[in-house]
Amino acid sequence: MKWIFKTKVNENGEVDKYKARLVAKGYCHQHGIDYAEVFAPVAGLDTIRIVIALAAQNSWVIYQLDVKSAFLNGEINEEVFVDQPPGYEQKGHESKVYRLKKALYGLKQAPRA
Amino acid sequence: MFIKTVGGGKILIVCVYVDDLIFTGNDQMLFAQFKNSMMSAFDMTDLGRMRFFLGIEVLQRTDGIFISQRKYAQEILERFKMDQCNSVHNPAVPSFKLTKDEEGIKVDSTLYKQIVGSLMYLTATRPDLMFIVSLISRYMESPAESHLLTTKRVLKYIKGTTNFGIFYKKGGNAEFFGYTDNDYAGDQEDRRSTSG
Repeated sequence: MKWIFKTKVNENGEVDKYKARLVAKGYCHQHGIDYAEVFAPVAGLDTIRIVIALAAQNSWVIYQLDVKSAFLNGEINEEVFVDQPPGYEQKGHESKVYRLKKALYGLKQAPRA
Repeated sequence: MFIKTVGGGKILIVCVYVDDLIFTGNDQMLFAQFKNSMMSAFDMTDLGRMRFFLGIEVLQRTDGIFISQRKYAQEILERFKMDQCNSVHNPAVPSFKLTKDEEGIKVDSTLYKQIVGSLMYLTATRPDLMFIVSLISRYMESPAESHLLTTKRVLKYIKGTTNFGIFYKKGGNAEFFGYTDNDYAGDQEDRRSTSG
């Protein structure tokens, strides 16, 4: 695991917020052991265009919702273990690992969670 | 895509894209029900009317819906340093033919693929680019200068047409039309059929 730091700026180029994100090193995964399937539930662009066309034809209004921090919502089924996050190791237990309950960025399971 | 129909012709259509979702239909009650159940299950932001989705700008007007990727088109031009170029009136010279050009000077295939890939996403709201993008994408494996020049002309065309998009007019019937044009002799290499 490692930390990713990012500074978000607004339209005027001023600092909006600082983001810190803990990511898993997904490339350490082994197929069949850590994960079995990789996919994300998405709608194709064609589908979206059809919906827009349908809405236009029938004079319907299209509304939009967005999930705040979608990645942090998902629980995962597989047993996935990670090292302790850098800077937050438990004193005297440095060699222990965590078992994940929820998805982390970088995991193969993340897009589905 | 998920569709819910209730007696009396009531309908709710929902499209999900990872953490973004859009919904439409003809019944305020269904809207409210759906929104409430989503809001209670997840931490959601209500963005109101759909205005921007997957880089596509959506303008819901009284006479219909206009979609475009104006911002994305501008970003492509900047990314490939073509934002200062002169514009042209068509994506390719009429009756222009491309070949494999095996003797031609090879160009960076990564750059070529990046341009083609960006243009492919732009075809989502730009059917006028569909033909030329399909054509240039056939030479991604080993692009030569002639292919890169063709691709650059497409960018020059985009420069003058960044505000192009698709307008879906209100009303009308849902009749489906298709057009096809076969061009067997147009292929300079193996004369295989190209439909467009």
